[in-house]
Amino acid sequence: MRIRRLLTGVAVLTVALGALSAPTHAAQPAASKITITYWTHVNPPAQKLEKTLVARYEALHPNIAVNYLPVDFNSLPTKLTTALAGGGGPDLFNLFQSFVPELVQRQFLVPVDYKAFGVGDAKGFASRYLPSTVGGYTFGGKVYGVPHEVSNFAFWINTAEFKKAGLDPAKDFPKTWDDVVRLGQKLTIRKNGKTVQEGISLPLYNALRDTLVLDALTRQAGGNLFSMDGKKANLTSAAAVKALGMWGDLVHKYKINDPALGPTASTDNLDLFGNGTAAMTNVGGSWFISLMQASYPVAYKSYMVGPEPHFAGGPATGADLYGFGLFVTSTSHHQAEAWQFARFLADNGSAYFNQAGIWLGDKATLNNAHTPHWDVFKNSFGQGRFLPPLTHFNEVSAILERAIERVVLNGMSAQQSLAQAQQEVQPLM
Amino acid sequence: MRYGHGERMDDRVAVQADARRDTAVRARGRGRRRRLARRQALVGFLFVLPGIVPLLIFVVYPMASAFYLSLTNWTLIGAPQFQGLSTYASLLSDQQFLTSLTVTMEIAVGTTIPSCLLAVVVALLLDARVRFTQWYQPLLFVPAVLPSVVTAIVWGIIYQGNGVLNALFGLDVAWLTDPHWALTALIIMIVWTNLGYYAVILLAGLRDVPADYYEAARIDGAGTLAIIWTITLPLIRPALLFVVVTATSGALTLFVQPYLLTSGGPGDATRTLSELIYDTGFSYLGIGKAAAMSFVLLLLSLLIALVQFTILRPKDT
Repeated sequence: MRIRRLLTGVAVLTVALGALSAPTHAAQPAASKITITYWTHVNPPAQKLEKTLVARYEALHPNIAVNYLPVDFNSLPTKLTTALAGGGGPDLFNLFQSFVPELVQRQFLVPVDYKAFGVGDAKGFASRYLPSTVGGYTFGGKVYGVPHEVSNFAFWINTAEFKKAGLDPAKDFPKTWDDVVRLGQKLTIRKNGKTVQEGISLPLYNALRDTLVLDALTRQAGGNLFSMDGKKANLTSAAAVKALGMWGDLVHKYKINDPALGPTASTDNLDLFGNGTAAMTNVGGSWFISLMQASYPVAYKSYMVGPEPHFAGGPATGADLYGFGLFVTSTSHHQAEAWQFARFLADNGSAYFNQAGIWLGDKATLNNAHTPHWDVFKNSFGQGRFLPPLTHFNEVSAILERAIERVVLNGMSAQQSLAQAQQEVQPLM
Repeated sequence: MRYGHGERMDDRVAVQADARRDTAVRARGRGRRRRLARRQALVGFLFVLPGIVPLLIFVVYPMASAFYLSLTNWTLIGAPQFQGLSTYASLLSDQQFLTSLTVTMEIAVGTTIPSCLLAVVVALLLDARVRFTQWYQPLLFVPAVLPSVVTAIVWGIIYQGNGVLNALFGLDVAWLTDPHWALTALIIMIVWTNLGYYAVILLAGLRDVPADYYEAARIDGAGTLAIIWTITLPLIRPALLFVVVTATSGALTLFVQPYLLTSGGPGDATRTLSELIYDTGFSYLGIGKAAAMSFVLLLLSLLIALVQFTILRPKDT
């Protein structure tokens, strides 16, 4: 009996102690200390720089602590949206701008605080940047983001492989897709019927990148995948069919790209260029130079970069612009402080460019930057444009990715594949 | 008190008093026992409460919430709008859902049957107690303890066009980029991963089979195959049931390996239902639709498990 009473008492005490010791809420920071949480995507050169920038900002503002968190690029949109939907999330985040229209529609973001940038209106804010840049961060007539990494794709060749094939990298640099085919057939190496080196590596299994490439090819073919307001899809237009058809021909007709070599779900087509499996590639921005230097020192010594090819007789519209931006959340309790920190980061354009190869979209860095081949990118920024704002960008890009895979991997005709994609996309527009 | 029968009346009263006393004592005893039982029940309940509360909070409540959300069209903003069973009905004509369901069932059949057959063979070989089994067993178990991410990345390299597998066997198969081969590649990887684990479980079952049965069978002239079919397999039925159910449920809820190895591609050739649920819920924010798909998967898993239990449950001897 006594033992039973004792055991009962112990049980009740244990439960009570557990309840009492559960933390009710985090200890409140000292009244004067504000913590800003900043999420960004993983990019090692940028992380190295930003850690020093954070330390410098905290030294300049002793009452502010920055909680810095790099998140894997692919999972950042999901983690961010889930956190924001739960009423939490960071104060400031760095996100690919194509994912933003959905967040704007869900009222998760607040417009830019122009006062933090020392200006009074959108015009004053936009004067820091190229006209084509700020447009990518403007939704519904309001500017929601600070351009934080603006780039486009250029065309890369391996000069050592060109020379081995008896080609002159400078003279023979491809200008049209016909040139790419001709050169690719000389650069593709097969042994025992298997491709050991492909002429060009093309993106795959990367819905975002594939969408940008297809959109750029469609513009080069004289059309648009989507209307400028992002409300209408033109996937079955002649230009889109020509673009995707050419992509498929590089694989099946001209055989200068072999999907069996990759990429896979866990590898990147830039890896194929970097490790010498491919002699050319059509993706990679100025940020690729520092990545190559870090990961592929051999390729880094023998690369050349130039403008994207175009269809013979067609407009040389180059590649799409794309970029990341700094955005402040509507759930943040420190929006003013978050915008001030964003301004601090944006003011370090030279550091970002010189140390991480990232251009922040600003005029000052564009005109003062010095890096190999910078003119290639600088000249092409004016040609390109951002994808239109697509509210269901994740789902739309996944549909386009499947359309591309059907052509590239299954050998389906571009017309048929895009017709299927158009049906899938229509309810989302 | 004196009655007509004097002392007998006194005795009767005394007996009656004794009887009443006994009744009262018994009643008090029953009451005490009831109170004791209630106290014991309360103590028992308090002891299991720390286990029940988390179950209610982290399992029952989320499941109930998910079922409610499956009846709505919630997309994370605003309040969920009740739709009834229309989301479930729409799944019947959703081509992507039907494709993923087919892929999932193909993976379930394609991994469970080979896994179980191979695991039985391996377990029988290990039970033969040849030399160095203490080395074979851990090696066989290694794939099961490797992180899924590591396995997927390594197999991704093995499966490349100019990778180890093609080079070793002189093949020219686009394992991950040919829709006809991608599912096979995934199944091979999963069977390889789980083989050791299932073999060890079956080995434990084999070690429980009394040696006398084998001896008696051999005396009766039974061959090896006959012994396996009539003695071994029936007696390891419980272990076999565990392996079959575990392999099937694991295959039905497969996510990590196809996500990392093929991202569900090429096309939708390896897009499992779990992956579609993840994309629908967290990438496309179709929470209601994702919840509905989850419950369809749950019901399917329960149905299949029920069939497996019915067929494979140990029969009374």
